[in-house]
Amino acid sequence: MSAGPVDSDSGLQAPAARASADRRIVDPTTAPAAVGRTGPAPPLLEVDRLRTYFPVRGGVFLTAKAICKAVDDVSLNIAPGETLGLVGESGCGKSTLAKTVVRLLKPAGGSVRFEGTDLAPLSRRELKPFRREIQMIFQDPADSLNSRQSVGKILEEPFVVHRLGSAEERRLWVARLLDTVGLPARAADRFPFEFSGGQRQRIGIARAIALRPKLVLCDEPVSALDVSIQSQILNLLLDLQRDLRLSYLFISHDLAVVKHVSDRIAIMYLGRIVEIGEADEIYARPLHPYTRILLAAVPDPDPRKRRRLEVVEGDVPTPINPPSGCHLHPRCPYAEDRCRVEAPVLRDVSPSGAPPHRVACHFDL
Amino acid sequence: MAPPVIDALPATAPRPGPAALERPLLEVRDLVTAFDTEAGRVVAVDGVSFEVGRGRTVGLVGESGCGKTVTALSVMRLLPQPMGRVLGGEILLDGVDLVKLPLEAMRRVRGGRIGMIFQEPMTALNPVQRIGKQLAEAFLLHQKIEPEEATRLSIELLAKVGIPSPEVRFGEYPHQLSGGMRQRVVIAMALANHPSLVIADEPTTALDVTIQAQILALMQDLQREMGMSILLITHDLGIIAQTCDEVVVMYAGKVIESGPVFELFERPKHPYTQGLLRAIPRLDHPRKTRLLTIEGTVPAIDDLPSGCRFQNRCPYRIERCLELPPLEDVEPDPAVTATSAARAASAAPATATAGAGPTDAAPAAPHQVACWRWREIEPP
Repeated sequence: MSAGPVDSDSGLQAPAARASADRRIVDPTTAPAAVGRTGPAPPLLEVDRLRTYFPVRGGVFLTAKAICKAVDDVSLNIAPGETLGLVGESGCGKSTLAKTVVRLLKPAGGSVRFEGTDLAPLSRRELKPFRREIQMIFQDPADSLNSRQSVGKILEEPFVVHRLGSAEERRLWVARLLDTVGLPARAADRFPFEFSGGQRQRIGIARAIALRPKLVLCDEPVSALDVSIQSQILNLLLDLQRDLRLSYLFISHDLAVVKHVSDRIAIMYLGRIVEIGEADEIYARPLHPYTRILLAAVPDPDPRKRRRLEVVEGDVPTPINPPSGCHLHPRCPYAEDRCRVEAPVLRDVSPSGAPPHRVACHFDL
Repeated sequence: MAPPVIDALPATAPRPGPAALERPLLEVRDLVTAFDTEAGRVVAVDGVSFEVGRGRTVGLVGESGCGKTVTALSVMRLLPQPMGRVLGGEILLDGVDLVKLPLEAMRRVRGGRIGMIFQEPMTALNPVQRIGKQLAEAFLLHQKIEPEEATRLSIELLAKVGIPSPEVRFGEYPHQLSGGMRQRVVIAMALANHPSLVIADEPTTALDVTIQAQILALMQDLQREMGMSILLITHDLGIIAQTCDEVVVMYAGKVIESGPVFELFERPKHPYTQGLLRAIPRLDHPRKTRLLTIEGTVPAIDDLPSGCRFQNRCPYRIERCLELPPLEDVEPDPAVTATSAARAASAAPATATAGAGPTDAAPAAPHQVACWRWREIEPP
């Protein structure tokens, strides 16, 4: 088994009991703050009109020449235990969005509410307790793992930073973490370079879940992996979500991978969300021209469904100088004059009673 | 037939004569390629055989380290020096063994009869030279023409690979182009001398999905127009399914299964091929279900088990797997063959025969598998 469940008996418990019982597995020191709250669970994460801008510098004195709106007025929610898939091409701002949510970047505007607290204005020190709750998994763990530290040291570090446990306890927790992600206990004494890409990603995942976060931002976590390893890691992420009741923001350019792991999906184009809704709904009834373009471009791994790959002319434009109005209009087969001047707003097009399905397009396609 | 001489390989490809048509364009036979490292000799490609028919697209698929890129580099004689070398086997291009070809003649083949496209276009382009100059050089190296003529041909070719305002782009540097546009320039360079074979190593892996679709469609269009064969190296089974006529699956330096694309996808016989096809998430599968996986990892190339190299991950493993299974022919399933032929003719531009020269004359490659138990293994 590549990925055993975290706790063999946890699957048998009621979800409420499990949520608190899970805490003891790795981090027995704190109880969840939300005990006693009643009613439907509020979103774990509420991103509202978030904007992340970069100055584009040039000239002799590197003065700001322009503003790159990498994340431009983005709003989205993630519920406890939910996966929101985030899809888009390179430069669309999906990684910047994730980095702003974990506050590796400071937003230019808008709010990032985590369990009701806006993280956007917080200082480094004020952010520290939230760093335990929100973790990140990167594409290539080799870049994010200190190559001079043993795996045991790497996995112990989160506990040390947050002053949790005695040395003895921490050793035990590290051993449990390794087991949870499907690595042998002896891995603790070895170094990252001794592991294959898939195993290194397991180490990256173990570090991310060490402090029992509620939200994990996965930035292209399987893009660098071979197919047979990719499926092992996806299974592990699904197992961990079920056993630890994690929420994921799952970023990928691979539409099939995103569909497989997500409950809801958001499609981003040049800093803006152009469509967001239930995963099955988006794939069965894509309403935004860009979503359709993306889906049509995926090569289906079934030769019986061979077709001419739909080609959309034009390159992916840069967010530094995006097209006016609807950013897609130069590539959009449906574009009209209005699209060149007026940016469409996200509007809900789902029938009443159905889960929201929001699209930013002037037309009902 | 008289032993072929170097002159049989002129820089630009003439239409092959009737005698040459009877054999596949490229025949790789028992290729063994090794690297001499400090830790000793490592055999990266161990007895690989396959063919590429005229006008056909053959996909070479496998996971990183399986030897697919080393196979391609061996064909092009571009192995890293001095470590890499071909230890055995033949690489016949129109019957001429490229392994034995003198270096000078091989240089004429590269960029002449064989065009090359790599994953990262910047590795193929000189960053400090204008695009037009590099492209014109491709013509001038292989054809006796005036520089003005080379310029004219270059601009024509840039237009053909879909580069807008080619006269302007001609004077620009690679960094001024997007990744997709750069790859178009590399494709133009590969096609400059009307190669009979194009080797494309992960040509779209570094590109966004919409740009990937553009590049794949472009390659298909150009193939239909120019009739070249394509050896496409990729890890993406979707690209294989959409663009290839035949597939060669490699694992740890060996071919473990090969055959026509429909046969292989509908009746995979090797446990590894089956595992790969089951492991990929698909758009039409239910969400959040566990994917079937291939447990474990590929054995290290310097620590291979004797016998079948997939044995440590194989659910069908038996005692006999300690012996190396030979590639055996699988009887084609008439139903699959019939539907595939019909579909290929109607739906697939890559295999369309109109104007593509002798494609339809080439017989379909046999379905072969290297597994002792392939007869017992049911398709998924």
